[in-house]
Amino acid sequence: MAKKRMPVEVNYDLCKGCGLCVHVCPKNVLEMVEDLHVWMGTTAKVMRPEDCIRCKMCEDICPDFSITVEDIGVELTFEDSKGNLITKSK
Amino acid sequence: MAVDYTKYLRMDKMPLYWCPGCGDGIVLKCYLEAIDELGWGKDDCAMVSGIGCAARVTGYVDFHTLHTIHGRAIAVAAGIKMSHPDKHVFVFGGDGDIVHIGGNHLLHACRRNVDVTVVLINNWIYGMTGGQHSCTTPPGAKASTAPRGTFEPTIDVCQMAIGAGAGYVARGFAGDPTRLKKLIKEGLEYKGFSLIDVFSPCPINFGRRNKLGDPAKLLEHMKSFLVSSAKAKRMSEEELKGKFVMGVLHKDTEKPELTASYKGLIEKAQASDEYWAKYVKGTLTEDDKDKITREELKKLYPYDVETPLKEWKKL
Ligand SMILES: Cc1ncc(C[n+]2csc(CCOP(=O)(O)OP(=O)(O)O)c2C)c(N)n1
Ligand code: SF4
Ligand SMILES: [Mg+2]
Repeated sequence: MAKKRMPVEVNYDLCKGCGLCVHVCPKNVLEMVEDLHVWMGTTAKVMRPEDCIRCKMCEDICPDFSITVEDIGVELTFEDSKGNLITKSK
Repeated sequence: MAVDYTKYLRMDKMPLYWCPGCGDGIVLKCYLEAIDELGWGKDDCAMVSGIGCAARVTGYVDFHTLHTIHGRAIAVAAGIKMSHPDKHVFVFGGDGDIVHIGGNHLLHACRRNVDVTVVLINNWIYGMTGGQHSCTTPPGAKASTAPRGTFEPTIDVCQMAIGAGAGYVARGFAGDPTRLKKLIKEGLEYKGFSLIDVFSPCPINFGRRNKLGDPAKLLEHMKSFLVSSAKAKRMSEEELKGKFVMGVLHKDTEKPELTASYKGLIEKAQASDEYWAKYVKGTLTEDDKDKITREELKKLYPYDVETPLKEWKKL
């Protein structure tokens, strides 16, 4: 059974909006957005989850322990950038 | 998710105190991953730090932690290691803390080769106190105490540590976490003094004054100073000028570790005392001769050989 979860998840309580994850992502999955509902005013958001190859570059570089990337091979069901429900394992 | 960081962190203290984009968090994460791979228990680890932004690490990790005085973290760590040789002892600290203010302790820990792992977060600045220049600020870079750029020559911490006799010396980069984790792990495993000099961005106090306020931009700037050890082999001395070599720079597997040699000395000294005590009482047996040689006995007994006999006769 596929888990219901994004391949990349950002913890908005910990993210300080430094932008390093956006800089290192080879697939341009993340973007910095202004959001007045988070504590720092800006945060990283997963914009194109279907492009994620789960290389964990963003998880490794994140200085605030706020990004978690699922392991390659785990089947996930999530909504892509166009709003369709898709299932992917890598 | 490869590693469950929450196991090692004091989650009630989160979010981290550091500024957005500060490299300290990246280094902490690499270090936790290395500990996780080694499978060390939390109660077997002791972490010591001095003062500074980097030194705030001790507040977040759920080991035995000590947040001590400025520059003296290595001295405290060496003391812990000497009294608890079975524990793993680490030091976290900044360049200002460990090299500039506590440089003397660094040198002597290197010389003694005491089994402590030092992760030096080298951000080229005194971050916490507002960006005063340190001994690693590159010439020409601006700092709050050098508004027209520093003019002092810098120090290559790794070369200094090698010269002082450290067993394991490596240089890593916060922008390259995969390799950094390997370097830290190797340093943790090494029996002896290990120093990992990590170039790490301070976008707020170093970056902003040098028009590198964007963490990604500062990371690229720091990267331009670094070359990997494999690439450095193919470069001439001329090309390597002003560059810093990344990777394991020195590893000495022969040098005796301090707590081990101290333990050896204690055992021999106890054997010698025991021998003399038995000699005085006249209860020596043939077995006692095997425990310690005649030469060692002579060398280790702090007084002249006749003293215990005379003392005994007086009684
Ligand atoms: C004895 C003493 N002198 C000076 C200070 C002020 N002080 C606090 S942090 C710091 C600099 C720390 O710089 P560094 O070790 O590079 O750490 P960073 O903040 O850059 O991570 C200084 C000088 C102090 N707290 N105690
Ligand atoms: S001042 Fe510099 S070293 Fe200190 S937390 Fe901020 S970015 Fe990090
Ligand atoms: Mg510093």
